[in-house]
Parts: sequence; structure tokens; C-alpha cells
Amino acid sequence: MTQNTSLSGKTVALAALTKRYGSVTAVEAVDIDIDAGEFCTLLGPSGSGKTTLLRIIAGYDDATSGTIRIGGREVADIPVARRNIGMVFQNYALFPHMTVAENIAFPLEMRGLSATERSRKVESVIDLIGLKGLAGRLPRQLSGGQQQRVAVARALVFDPDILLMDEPLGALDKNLRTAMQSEIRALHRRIGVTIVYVTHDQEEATNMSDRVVVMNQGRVEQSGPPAALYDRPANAFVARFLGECTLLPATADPVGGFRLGLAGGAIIPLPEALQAASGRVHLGIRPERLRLMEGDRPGWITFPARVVDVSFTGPDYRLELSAQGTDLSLRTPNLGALPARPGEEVLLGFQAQDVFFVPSPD
Amino acid sequence: MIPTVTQLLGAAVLAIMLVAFVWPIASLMMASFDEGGSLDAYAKMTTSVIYQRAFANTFIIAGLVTAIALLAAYPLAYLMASVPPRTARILTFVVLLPFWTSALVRTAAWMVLLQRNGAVNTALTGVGIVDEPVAFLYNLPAVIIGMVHVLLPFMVLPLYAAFRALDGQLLQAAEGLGAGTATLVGRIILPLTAPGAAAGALIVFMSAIGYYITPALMGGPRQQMLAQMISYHMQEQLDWAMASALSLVLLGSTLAVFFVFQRYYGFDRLFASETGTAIDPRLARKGGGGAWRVALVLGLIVAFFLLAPILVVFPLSFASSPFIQFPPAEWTARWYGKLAADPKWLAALLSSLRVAAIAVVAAVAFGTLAAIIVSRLRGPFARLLEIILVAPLVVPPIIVAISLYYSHARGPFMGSHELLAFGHAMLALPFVYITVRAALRSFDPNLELAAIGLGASWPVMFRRVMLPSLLPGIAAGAVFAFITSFDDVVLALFLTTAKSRTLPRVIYEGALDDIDPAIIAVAVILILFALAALLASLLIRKRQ
Repeated sequence: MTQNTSLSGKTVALAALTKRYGSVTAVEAVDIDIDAGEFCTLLGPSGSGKTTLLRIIAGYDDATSGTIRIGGREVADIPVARRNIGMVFQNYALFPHMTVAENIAFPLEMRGLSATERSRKVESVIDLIGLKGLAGRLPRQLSGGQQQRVAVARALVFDPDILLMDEPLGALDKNLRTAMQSEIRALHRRIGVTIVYVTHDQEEATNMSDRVVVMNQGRVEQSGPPAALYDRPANAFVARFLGECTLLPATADPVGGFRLGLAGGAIIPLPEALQAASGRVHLGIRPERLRLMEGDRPGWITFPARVVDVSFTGPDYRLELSAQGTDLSLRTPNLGALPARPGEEVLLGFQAQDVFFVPSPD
Repeated sequence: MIPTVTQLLGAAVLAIMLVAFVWPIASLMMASFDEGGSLDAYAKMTTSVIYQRAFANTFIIAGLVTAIALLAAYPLAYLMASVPPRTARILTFVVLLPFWTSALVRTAAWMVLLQRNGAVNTALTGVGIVDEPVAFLYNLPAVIIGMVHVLLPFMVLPLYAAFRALDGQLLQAAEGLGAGTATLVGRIILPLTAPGAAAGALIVFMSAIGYYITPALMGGPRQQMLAQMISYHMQEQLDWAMASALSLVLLGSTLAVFFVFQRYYGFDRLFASETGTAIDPRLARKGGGGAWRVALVLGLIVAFFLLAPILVVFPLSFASSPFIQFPPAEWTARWYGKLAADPKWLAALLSSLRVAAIAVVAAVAFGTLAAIIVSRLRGPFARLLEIILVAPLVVPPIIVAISLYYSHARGPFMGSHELLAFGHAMLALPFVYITVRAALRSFDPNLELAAIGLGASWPVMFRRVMLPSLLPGIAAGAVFAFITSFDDVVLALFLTTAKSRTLPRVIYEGALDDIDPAIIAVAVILILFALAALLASLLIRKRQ
């Protein structure tokens, strides 16, 4: 990421963080290290503890145990207002009776800045965020996308070390959401603040982040760059949560690999990381990595299948297939011709690097 | 577990309510057991025919009033829900104006209309329908007419809400499936609006059994109800044990009805706002067909009944004759001049305003604080606080009045404006609490978090962010509180003296004899106050 402005952001380090509400454990033993200036997304289904984590970082909630450090400094005893954190709420939480300019000036006013200083800063952030000419409007006179921008402006105007965003695009429609994603990414590139972003939308997470932390039932399932998580998920939950995939049981082979039942006994070399796993494993393959083959090729693992259904999405064709009773999906780009017809017998294939292994789900 | 600051504040609210509200009532109830726990009063109550008749009167009159109000409310509520929005607003206004006008003023207006030489009798004898004036007043029909008029809005409003929630397409669908008017009413409209009707009926019945002014002014000796018996034993017989025992019975009956209500509806329904989608007027009329035409005629009659006594006092206040007749023979402003000339009216008005000012400030301050505290609490403690804060709405005013009278009869505050204002603040507290609580429910808690996160302290957050959002709710509560205090006559009868009496008390005393035209002029002024309050509350709601 290029960083070319005054805001550099600070690191955020969570260690063994646990939060319990009575007998319910919302977050359990979470360790996350976020670099300064990094765009980190907490991704998970509802109830996975991601919003709780965000509230603890912000200081709206205390952790039951564990530590939070911001810029290397323990912050448990520092109240919300003095953590210098900007937060964008899911419904924006714009003060309904204040204009755009008054909303944005609020944190500056609380910090005792003079009126001239305030209006200078407000003006520059209004420019930065593309809200020129709307300074005198009330929140209810703005569109959803404009409200979202005001919320971001208000959270950034006081030069926070960290920007927290709680599902900030959840209330927008799909097209606007995609446009706002690019805007937030561009903004992050320009100012380089550390962003902790919460969403349940995997596309949003992989599209925007430097790092994605996948959460489930209060625990971190896996953390890393989006492509690494997508291509090499650590377990079945992450594999399925980040996108469509087919998981096939594989059996251990004495030679030191795994045998895929339907691949006609082909041995697939076992990745280093999984060799220690003594248990059963599944092989995972995503629809776009499975290919329709003309015939056997060296280095490819192939097997026959029957086409059950073909659907057309525009950029792609989707094939639903059955191979010896196992259902598979395949996605192939629309190159102008129907790739196969329902009922047709086809040959499928993949290379070793197209697949991943995960411990067998229970 | 260590209690939080909010829990301690909640405990303080509870303590204040126990001392200020529950304790006087509890000590009044204790008085029924005489010294040494004797049950004489109760023994007398069960054997004497006087009390049995009062019980019978109370429940028969309350039952009749409820039944008639229910029948009258149905066509009007249906009409309100099925006309175009503009007309619906007019009809809503017709229901709300009496709702906001003091019961005393409306009762006085009915007395003007119904007395021997009143407007109705003049019209009847004038046209020659009857030779002799009919005795409309001081009998059962008079009490029923007066009480139905006073309580009808409480029935119409929840029913109207039920009709608004009714999907107009259902009527159309039913008609398309072959339902006639009778089937439509019996199988679709009645079952779907029954909850609203039951809610209204319970409120009306609950209020009716504790009613005081209307039966006292418009009824005869044979229509004595419980509240009058209580007042009679308290003020004339000085038999406090008996007054207290009767109060206990009245309170017990009221609470029993309230708990049925609470069980099935929850007391927030007392203020059922017009939520839900309106019936599309065209659909309802088309779909309702015959039912709608019947509702139109009956609804307009009921609307006329609600509005007529309020309107008729305006021309009457300018009539020249000291005998009130309608229409007046000659016009004059002399009754207004008489008002200005007689110092008792001005003194009473000033007393009323002074008491209302104290009551509003006290009720608004305490009610707002209490609402904020309760909104931050959860669980049974929050529910307990909520119930005790709206309890003054349920307890009949006559009981609040005599409990304060009983606790302060020999105290230094008796007859003071402060004591009356204190009682009024209690009566008004639930209104403030409920409106502010509603405003808090629509206050996004994230706004508070956001303001604090952006660097505001709690007091700054409260002043800059929360208070502006609550202000409409607080203002609505304040308007309600003002009108509650300004219109009250029951507490004023017990807690003021000839020197400190308020405007409603002076009117009440005047209405006990034949109605003096000057009272009509005061009634007009009070109606204008109510109108101003109603418009203020509509304006606040619109701005919300």
C-alpha cells in the first residue's frame, strides 16, 4: 500500500482476548496483529463475535480477559473518547438535528479546536470525501451513499490512529455498495490510516482488504491475505465461507499421499502443512478451477462425469455435474458457445495446484 | 453483585414513588381497619342497603356507559379509517377536541343543554313536541349521556387504530368471494377489530367505575356512585374508616380491570398511536359497500354528538338573557365583562396557572429523568419501575385526592398551591413518562456511542445529542401535564380552600346550582385553552 499523507495509523494487537456475557462466550482467546496502515477485515456470519471485537477495540465494551494494545500501548483503562479512534456505525449514527458540517465539526469541537480551525478542517475533509455543496444539509436530506460518506468524514476529520467500520455498506443497494467499496479503498490508499472493517459479505472482504480475519463462533478460524485464504483455506468453514467449493473425501495412501476415490485411484501429492494431520482429510476444489477436458494430459488428474444441468449467468456458464454419484460444480467463461448439454458425458480434470486439503469436517 | 449507578438511580426513583405516591394511598387504606384492626366499616358495607345500591349503581352505570360507548364508537372509527386522509384528519380532530377539553366543561355544557329552561327543552317546547319542559337532568339518562360523552374518545381512538391496521383488501376480497354486508361485518370486521374494541372497553370501564364529577353534577340521589360515597363520607360524615374502606373496594376493582388489560394488551396500548397502514379509502368504500353507508350515517351522528355541546357554548356565552336559551335572542359580551369585573375569576385563573406551572415543571423534570433511567435498565426491576410510574394513570383521581387529603388534613400544606401541584404532578407524571419513553425508544443508542466516541462527555452528549431528540417527547408530555393540571377539579375540591381554589373548582361550585351564564363564558375560555393545547400537541407530533 502506498502511504503518502500525514496519517500513518497505528498497530492493533489483540492477545488472548475473551469476552463473556454471563455464561455466553462471545469472543474466545482471540489473537490478531494488525500492522500500521493495514486494511484488516473481520469476516464472519452473524453471531461470530466480530462486532463484539470491534466494540472492544473502540472501548465501548470491556474484555473479560486478554489485552489490547494500540500502537504498542495497552488501552484497557483508556476511555473511548481518548483512544483517538474513528468509528463508522452500521446505520451511520449521524446526529439527525445537526447539518453535515455540524456533524463533521462535532469531534473537533469536543477537542476544543477554534471555530476557524474547525471550518478549515471540515472544509478540507468535505472536499476529500466528495460532499461539496452539501455542508448545510441535514442527514435526512441526503441519500444513503451521501450519509455513508458523512459518517466516514466525521470519523476521519480528527486524524484518528485507527478507523473502525461496522458493516458500513450494509444499508446500501448492491450497485452503490460496489461503488462505495472502491471509494473506501481509494481513501485508504490516500490517507493510509489503519482500518478495522467488519462485514459478513465475503466478496466485500476479499475485494477491499489487505488482510482478512475469518471468525466463527467467537474464534478466529484463519487470518491472512484474501487470496491465501481463498486458495488455501485452513478448514472446511473458511473454504465454504469464502466461496463456493466442492469438498471430496480423500483416503490416506501408504505411499505418502492421498487417494481420491473418484479420480480412479490417482495419488495427489500431500501439501507439507497437512502431512502432520493424522486424521481424515477432504480435498476441496472451486468451480472455476475444475476444467472440461478434451482428453487425458500429462500432469492432469482426470475423471468422467455426466452433465446434469447447465445455467448461464452472463460472463460464465455453470455446470452441475455428477461423477459416480458425487455432485460437482464447474464454472467456465462464456466464450460464445455452449460448453456442454445436459445429459452429455464429459471428462473433467484439474492439476495438483488447483486443489486444497482441509481436515475433514465433522 | 455491586449495583451500577443506573441501578442506584432506579432505586431512588422507586423510593420517591413509594414515598410520594404509594405511601399516602397505603395509609389511607390502612385507615379502613380503624384502630386495632376492626372490620366495622366492612361489616357495615356488606349489611347496609345504601352501600349495596352504590355498588350496584357503579357497576351498572359503568357497564351501560361502556356498552353504549362501544356501539357508538364502531361506526365512527370505521368512518375515520375509511375516508380520505384530509377528511380523516377532520374527524380525528372532532374526537380529539373533546378528549382534550376538560370533562367538567363538557359536563357543564351538557347541563346547559339539558336543564329545564335549556336549549333542548326550549327547542322541544318551541316546536310543540312537548308542552312541559322534560326533566332531562338529575336522572340515569343524564348521567349516561354525560359519561358517554366524556369517555367516548377513549373508545374511539384504540378502535380507530384497530381499523387502520385492518387491510382494506380483505374487505374487497371477502366481497369478491360473495360476502354480503352482514357477513362482512360479522365475519371480517368484528373479529379483526375486536382487540381494539376490548382495549377501549376496558379503559372506559376502568375510568367509569371511579368517575366523580359527571355523576355528581348530572345525576340525582338515585345515581350515587362509589366515588360520591367516598367523598360524602370523607367530607360530610368525617367517617374516614368508611371512606377508606370504600376506596379500597374501588381501587381493588380498578386494579382488577387494569390487570386484565395489562395481561392481554400491555399498558402501552393505552396510548395506541395510529400506526399501521390506513385502509385505502376507495377500496374500503367499494369493498365495504352497504356497511360503509351505514357507518357514514351513524358515524356522523356520533361525531355530531361529540362536538355539539362544545360548539353550542360559544354562541351561548354571547347570549343576552340570564336564562340560558338556544339560540340566544340577543347578542352581548356582558358575561365576559362580568368575568373581568368579578375578582374571584381572575384570582382562580391565576391560582390555576400557578398550580399548573409548578406541576408541569415537577412532572417534566422527574418524568424525563425517570424515563431515561428506566430505559437503561433491564429485567424485572425495569418492569416494576415502569408499572409504578404509570400507576397514577390507573388509580382513580378521587383516591389520589382523598389520600393526599387524608395525609395532609392537619398538616401545614393543606390548602396550599404546592400540595395541589404535587398531586397534579403525580397525575401528569405517567403522560410525561410515556411520551419521553417513546421518544427514547426511537432514539438510536448508537448516537450516544458515537458522540462519546467522538470525544463528548456524558453531560455534553446529553445536552447536544440526546436532549434535542427527546425534546418533542418532553414537550408533548409537558402539554399533557399542563392540561391535566389545568382541567383537574377532583383534587382541587379536596385540597384547596376558598382562597386558593382554582378555576375548575369555581366552575364546579357554580354548576352545582343553576348554570350562571358567566360560567359559560369561562367554559369558552377553557375550551380555547384545550384547543391551543391540542393544536400544540398536533404540531409537536407533526414536527416529529
